[in-house]
Amino acid sequence: MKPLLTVENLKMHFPVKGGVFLRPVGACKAVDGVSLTVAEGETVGLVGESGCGKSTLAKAAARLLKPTDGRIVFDGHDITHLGMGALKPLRRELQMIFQDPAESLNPRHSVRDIIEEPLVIQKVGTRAERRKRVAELLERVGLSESAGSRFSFEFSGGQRQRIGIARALALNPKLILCDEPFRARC
Amino acid sequence: MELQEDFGLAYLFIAHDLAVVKHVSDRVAIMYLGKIVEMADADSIYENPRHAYTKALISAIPVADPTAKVERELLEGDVPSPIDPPEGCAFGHRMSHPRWPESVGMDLSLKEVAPGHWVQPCPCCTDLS
Repeated sequence: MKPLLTVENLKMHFPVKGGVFLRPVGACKAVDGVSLTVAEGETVGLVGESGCGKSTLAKAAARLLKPTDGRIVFDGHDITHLGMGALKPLRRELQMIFQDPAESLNPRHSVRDIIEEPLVIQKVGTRAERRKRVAELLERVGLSESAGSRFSFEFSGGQRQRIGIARALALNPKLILCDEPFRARC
Repeated sequence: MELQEDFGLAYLFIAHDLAVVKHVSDRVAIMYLGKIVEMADADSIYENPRHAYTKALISAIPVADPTAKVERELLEGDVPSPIDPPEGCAFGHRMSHPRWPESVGMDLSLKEVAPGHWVQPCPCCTDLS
């Protein structure tokens, strides 16, 4: 199988500041030399106790963070040092589902707007086409179309997580990074 | 899973519970203090774990039988701070394993012990046979 995501010797160190002038006094080595591949259509599980660097690794792989060292190749493109603009087409292919749906969904937006947002950012289709896609996605994750006009806080934790999933699926990505998706509750 | 077949999706799935990951993953990587300690396809991780940390995680999976007696490996101590990680094998250090000092200064990059089964080759935690 063709590798879709390749992470080579990834390091993610955060500066630790201290003293009166908050100079960097050390580094927090959250991820220290990790290599990993995910092939097309494959599911790779990443397990470890809290604080071992799993989420940091995922955020760096999705380039939400800039890695300290190492290389990230997605679908044949080296994305290690790309800037925000160059990363935009990549975001279509690589989506992330977050640990806490209550925190990652904007409470001021209706569910329809939340799911439509990635389509708007990537300028996909007309407004009517996008609305149709949102209705399809809602159905796909087991929510009714009328859910679209409500707000995320009106839903239970599991339903909110499904809103996050619908948003991640909106652009037909090739890879989804799921950060503890089963933790969602309330 | 159903979505995966429909869309031909790939996932990187993060969890701190091996029980869940077992059902969904093709391959599993075990991470400890910023490093991968063991990586293999899902079946060999469960049937033939090589690293002591993986074994401890597997023994922590709850069994759905209240009468079953489970011998759990309880871990002592806490994960060391990533600001000042111990030298050598971090897990052997936590367990104060008698052979931990041997891992200091060793090259602990993953070694393939069986086809597709990679593990950190430290003398204290890994069964390399």
